[in-house]
Amino acid sequence: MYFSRGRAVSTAILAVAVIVILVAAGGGYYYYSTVYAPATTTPIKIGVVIQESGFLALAGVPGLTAIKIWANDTNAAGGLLGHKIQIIAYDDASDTSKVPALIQKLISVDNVDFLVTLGTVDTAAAMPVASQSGKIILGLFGTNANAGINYSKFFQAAPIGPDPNYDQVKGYFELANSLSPKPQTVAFVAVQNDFGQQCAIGGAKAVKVFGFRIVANETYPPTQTDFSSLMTKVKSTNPDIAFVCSYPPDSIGIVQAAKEVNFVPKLMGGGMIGPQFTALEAALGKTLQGVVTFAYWVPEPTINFPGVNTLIQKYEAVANASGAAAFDPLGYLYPPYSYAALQMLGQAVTACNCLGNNDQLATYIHGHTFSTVGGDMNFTSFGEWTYSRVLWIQYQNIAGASVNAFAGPGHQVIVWPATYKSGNLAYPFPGWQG
Amino acid sequence: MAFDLLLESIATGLLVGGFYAALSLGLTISFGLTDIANVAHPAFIFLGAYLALALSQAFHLDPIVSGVVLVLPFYFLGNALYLFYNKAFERRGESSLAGLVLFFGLLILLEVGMASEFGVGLKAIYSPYGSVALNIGPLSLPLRFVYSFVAGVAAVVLLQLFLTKTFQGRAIRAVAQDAQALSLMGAKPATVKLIATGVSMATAALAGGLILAVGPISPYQDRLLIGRVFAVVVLGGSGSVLGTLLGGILLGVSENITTIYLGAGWSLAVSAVILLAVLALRPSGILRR
Repeated sequence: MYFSRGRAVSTAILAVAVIVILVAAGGGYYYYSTVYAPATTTPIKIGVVIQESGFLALAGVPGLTAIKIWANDTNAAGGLLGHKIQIIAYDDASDTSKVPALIQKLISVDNVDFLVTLGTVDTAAAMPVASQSGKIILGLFGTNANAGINYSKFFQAAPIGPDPNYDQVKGYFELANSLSPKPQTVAFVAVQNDFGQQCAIGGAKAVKVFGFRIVANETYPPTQTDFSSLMTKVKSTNPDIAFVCSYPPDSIGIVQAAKEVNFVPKLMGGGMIGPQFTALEAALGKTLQGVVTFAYWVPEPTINFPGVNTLIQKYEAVANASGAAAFDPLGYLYPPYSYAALQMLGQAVTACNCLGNNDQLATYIHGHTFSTVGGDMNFTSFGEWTYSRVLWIQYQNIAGASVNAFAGPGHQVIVWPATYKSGNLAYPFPGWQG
Repeated sequence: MAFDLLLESIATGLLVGGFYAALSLGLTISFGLTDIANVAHPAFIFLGAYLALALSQAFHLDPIVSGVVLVLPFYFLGNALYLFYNKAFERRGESSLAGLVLFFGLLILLEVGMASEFGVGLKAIYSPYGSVALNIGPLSLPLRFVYSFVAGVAAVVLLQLFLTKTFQGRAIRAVAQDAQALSLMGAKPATVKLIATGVSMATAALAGGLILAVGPISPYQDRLLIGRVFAVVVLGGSGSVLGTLLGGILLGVSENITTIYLGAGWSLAVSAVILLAVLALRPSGILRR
């Protein structure tokens, strides 16, 4: 059969393009595993489905790095009950639809002992398959992912609390309630996705509890580019409190637009995901001064749990050595509780001495408190923390637009809860700077 | 107050529209004038944004200036891309489906390449006008959008002058209408498309600088952009540069007015209705090429 050279070239190019598409579409299946410390005995396999690429890799890469640091630390100390730790990690490319199949592969093919996922959406996607396996599931930051399933072997590591929607945001309103003069009115701005919806539901509950009045209740699509009109509209309602539930790119756009239209409520912030990421902090610089948002850990002296600073040093060394922009150079948000979750598991496996009996291990975890780099943690029957320790921080003493301007204590000052308070809230919001 | 709100939403919508137009110009040329369905164009815009970020960080340049600096290299990148496309597909009459697959493949390659090289997280750059407004009477206009609007309109004007006042520009418009007739007049359609693809890609460099000036970037953000830029091109009239500006402004203003009166959540739906209405009443868009 005649087959011209040109046709062969174009066919080959097409084939390459199709392969590239298939590989990319297949995502995680081709980002196979990182294995630590070859086992001298049967290793304990920890299967991780996480976002190593895609838009949520900003969370997944630091989280996985902390898991690897824990594995290295544990193996260096002789492993768990004499077994080395083996991490098998698959990248779901921030594509939730890939999660169930990857979880199934970890269970059926890799025969892992424990399962780990990160983020509410991915964890929720993993739960139907994972909960059938009978294995312990660690849902890092998988808030409320066990709702409706009530799987007894699920444990969520972030310190949010037993009523996740409400506990995640109640501190912001409790803080507002404690101010003098007490602010009265609230404007809600929420992104139209699962996070925004849950955040707004929690906020609405808090508004009722503390007796505020909602004067604006705005939502926006995740594709929103410009927030000027939205902020102008919110400003026209003259609220005392701005309560924003936003994702990373939007948080930046909202802060920029609020400053541009000179929207100055008495309390500016809310459940904003984004300012916590160092690259975005550095880009906004002094503009963040006075903004209040949540955190789970910050390098303030009032929340210096044993081992957390060592972890951060190790994390920052890995991040600096990699030179890859995938890393959050400071790592205050995801690494502490990712590491803490595995630390809790390690303590439980060792103390229970019941490796292989997940029912017994889960019962042990439910019945005990664990001391970790994220502080003491214990769990409700559905796997959330029994108490809330979400921190509310205010950006203060921001010297400029660089990573260093946000590094170390004194820049993300804890203003709530009182137990961990490291400074006073600048109130009313002093207005936009920078 | 209500009038101030309306005025402000129209003014910012106008600015955002100029920004949308700047993002869409490259597709207007490739999709509308040369019939090359370069669906990878938004990914090239983000490549421009990342390179502008690297330039800005290395030489302390403004992101928009970095975008302008990249215009010439991107022109040659466009030339190279067309030579490849022409040799592998177009010359053999396989430019439709096979070409589309090529550009899809290129889109994914670019995304993966950017993620590997620049990291997967959001990147942003500090600029002194990043959160500053230009106050005119009751209006507070975001400077980052004012500059993007000015750059977008300047690009539209320059491109329109190029397409109407120069031989090469007129040839690009002619190749879209009848490539065979153009070749009978002594011009080579392939050479004309080579220039057009270069110009199209050059606009991606400028758009990259603008997108970096406006907000944070990430390697997969191009997917959020694809629908909007195609909508602008189709609204304006496929292949019409001035139409692209009008399409961008129509979309920007409608989104902003919708935000004020119905809520931002409705803005995409209203944009879709406008697109459908324009296509129903003027199937070839606001301005025909």
